[in-house]
Amino acid sequence: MDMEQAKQLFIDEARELLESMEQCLLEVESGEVSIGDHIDAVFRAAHTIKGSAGLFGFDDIVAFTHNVETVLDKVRDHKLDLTPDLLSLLLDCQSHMGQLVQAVVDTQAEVDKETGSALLQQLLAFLQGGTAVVVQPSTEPTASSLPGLWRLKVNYGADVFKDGMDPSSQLMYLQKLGQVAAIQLRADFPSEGFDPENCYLEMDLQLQSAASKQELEDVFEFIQDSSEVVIQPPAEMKDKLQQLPVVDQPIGQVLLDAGAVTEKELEKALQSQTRDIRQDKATVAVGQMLVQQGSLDAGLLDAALNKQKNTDHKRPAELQFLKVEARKLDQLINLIGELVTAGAANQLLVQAQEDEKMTESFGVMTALIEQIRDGTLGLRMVQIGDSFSRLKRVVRDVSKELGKEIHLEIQGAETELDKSMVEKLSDPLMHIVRNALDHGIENKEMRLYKGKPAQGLLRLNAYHEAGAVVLEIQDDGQGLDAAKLRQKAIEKGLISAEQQLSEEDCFKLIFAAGFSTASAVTNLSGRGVGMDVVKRNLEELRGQIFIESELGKGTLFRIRLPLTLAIIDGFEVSVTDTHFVVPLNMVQECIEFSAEDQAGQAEKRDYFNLRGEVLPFVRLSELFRLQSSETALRENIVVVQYGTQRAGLIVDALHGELQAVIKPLHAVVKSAKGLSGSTILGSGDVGFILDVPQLIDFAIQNESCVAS
Amino acid sequence: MTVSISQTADFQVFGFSKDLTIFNVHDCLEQLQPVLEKKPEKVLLDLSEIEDIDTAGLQLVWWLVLQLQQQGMAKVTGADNGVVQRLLDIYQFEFPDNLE
Amino acid sequence: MTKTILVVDDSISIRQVVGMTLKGAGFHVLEAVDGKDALSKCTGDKIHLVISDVNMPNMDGITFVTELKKLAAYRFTPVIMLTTEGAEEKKQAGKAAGAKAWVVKPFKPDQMLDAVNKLILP
Repeated sequence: MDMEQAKQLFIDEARELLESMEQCLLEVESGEVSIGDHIDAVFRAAHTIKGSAGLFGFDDIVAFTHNVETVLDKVRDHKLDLTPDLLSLLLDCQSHMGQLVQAVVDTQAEVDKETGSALLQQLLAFLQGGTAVVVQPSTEPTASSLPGLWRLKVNYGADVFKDGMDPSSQLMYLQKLGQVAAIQLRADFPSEGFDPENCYLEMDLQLQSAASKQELEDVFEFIQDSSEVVIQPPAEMKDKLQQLPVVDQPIGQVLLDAGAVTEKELEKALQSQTRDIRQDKATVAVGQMLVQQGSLDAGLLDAALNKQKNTDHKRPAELQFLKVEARKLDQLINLIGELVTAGAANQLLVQAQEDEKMTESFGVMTALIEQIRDGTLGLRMVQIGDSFSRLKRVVRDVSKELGKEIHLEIQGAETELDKSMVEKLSDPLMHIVRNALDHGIENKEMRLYKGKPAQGLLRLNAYHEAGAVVLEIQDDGQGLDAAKLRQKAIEKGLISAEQQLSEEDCFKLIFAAGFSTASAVTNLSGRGVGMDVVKRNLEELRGQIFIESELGKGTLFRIRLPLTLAIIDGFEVSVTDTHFVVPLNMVQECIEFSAEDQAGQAEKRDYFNLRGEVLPFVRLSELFRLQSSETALRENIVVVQYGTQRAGLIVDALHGELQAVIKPLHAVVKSAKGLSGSTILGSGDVGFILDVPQLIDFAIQNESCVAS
Repeated sequence: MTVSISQTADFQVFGFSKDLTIFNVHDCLEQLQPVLEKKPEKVLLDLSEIEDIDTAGLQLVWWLVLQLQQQGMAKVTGADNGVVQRLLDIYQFEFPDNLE
Repeated sequence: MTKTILVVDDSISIRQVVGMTLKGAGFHVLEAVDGKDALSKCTGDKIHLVISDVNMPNMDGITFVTELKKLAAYRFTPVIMLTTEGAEEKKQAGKAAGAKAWVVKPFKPDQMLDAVNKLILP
């Protein structure tokens, strides 16, 4: 593991902790829970961030977080009341910590130093006695470039002389081990009550020596009990450390093996740590403790940490999560894809054998493969809740800024979604929420005037529906005015005055580039950019967005997204010798179709009477311009559904269910409408995966075009 | 007598002899205390007669020099005596001197 | 000025080896066979260092050190205790009595000299 990876781990960890800190604080602020329930988690977050930041020498993070931690510690000990002011301050601090962490990732990122020091001041105010400490980088004597230059610092105990020890003898002894480069003797004499039998001396010493740290420490073995001896290894130790193999050992052992610390120092560090834990005080990692007690500098610790394997898995399973590199997961999913394909090929062979036993045994394996597939895909699934929580913060900040009181309601936070999708969703969601808060929900006075509750309502909802995930963002604001939107679009030249638009199409105008409805542009929802980006982002995810709105009552944005991106259960059909796969969850039924059934045949209209219901359909042979062999006496119609809409697909033959590993379409056919991907069938042929929502749209539009 | 206190034309001289170690630093200081309280303005600390000195002794001389220099002038002489010089060399130390 | 070291041990071989080593390093060496014998040698003459065994007949090392520290002339004299591996209790008792240094038996002559050199200048 190199330093960059270690840093990445730190950053991920810090972000996670910051998120949980934020969530806890927000829950406390909203009154959902009391601070007592969350203080430990909040404290731990700050505490861990400080500790690990220290390991990497991110001193600004350490310094700032230390004070946050101190305040939290007081809150935990009931020495400080968590007033709304303090809560707000802590949230601001959390933001600032986020900035500091971001600055690690992106050196370009600006850290608002003024805000930082202002926050620090406020924290100090809460600490009253001014006990807040600005933690200084602990590398006190700057590392020297001279070869093998050890730095020793001895703070002699008062009883050293009385114990019969003469520090000069140890100095003499040191000269046997190396060359004393410099000594500085200092005395800390009291202004009154000088006792000549007490020792008031301190010594800084630089020694050029090839001796081990243990040997040097042993020189002082007889005064160890009464005095403080700090020995800092030479800078070269770092090079030495870097040459060591990577090991899977505690950091203390790594440092010990390298000779950077002695057992005594390690023991001392562990003791202080234990003491801190017993006293329930803020603790720091052992490595950091060693740096604090001066046994080594932060640079050396870094080097040692690099030599340590990522031993995260050895920590107690407190988090119940395992971090896996996304790359590994992707690789696994790819392999599962291959496995599924290979399984399908084998199935054909097995079926050809007509061996009952073999078929049976193979069936068991197929079932297992299916389970593995589902399980593996499940690994990528995360709960949408995290994304929602992030929105909590947006809602809080925005409502504060706008002076609107808003109640946020979250439903379906446990709904799972592919991780990569969640990441790409966060921006569009944020835009929609901001828009709802800014343009949707009216200010307090207006709401009261209209007889609405003063507090606005924003509802986030997520649920699964027919192989898709649906996200809803609903507000009880003023709603969208279709006529006004239309007028505005005409003014802006986005549509022509003659163009007829349905109500929903009018609503969708807000997704047009350069469209903004609020007459006063606030700095929150941007300047008319955003909503068009939202639509584009969602389309990239093969998602769709719908708007429902009632004037004066509110607006509902509904986003539908495919569940996953990798493997689907499909239904294989064919037209002539071209194979297609329909996502199984969208298939409602299959019906034999004969030309007589075509209700609108006389008018050459493509709809079909399905038990009294009008069902538009598309002929795949026509759509994809396939030479339909007229010999196909019988056609079949596959009834598909997406959301609330249904349509029929007319195909030649039905082949049954299969698992399809989605492969991206070749560039040549990428532009083809109605296809979302391809797959390799068991026979080795290519099957095209149909884009059902698009086909349904197409069928409906086609039908209505002909009808009008 | 561990320390001899004498007066020359310009200086009070604290003459240390034989031992100046942890065993007698306390006595030395006790003996010098009355003189110190009179706040002498010019003092020479003569180490030339010392036969055995340890770090506690060095510390006492250092402290005396600092004390005396607060109210006047003080200077250590005779530090080139073998045992004293050896100890000072080990510490790479020189007594402060405000007397030109 | 030659420094004087008092070596207290009931084992003659140890006294011999330690004595030779220290003499070789330029120290003046006094020897005593037990605590009682040792105390009788502490007559006010300067002793710069005491090396004492713990387990001895007549008077053990810890009692000896305790008594030694009561004598004004030796109250600050450094003492090296000769302890055995694992005798942590004895070591602590020795420390409490005033023996702040120790050497674990068995030791090589050089180890003894090292310990001495960490305490007093030759």
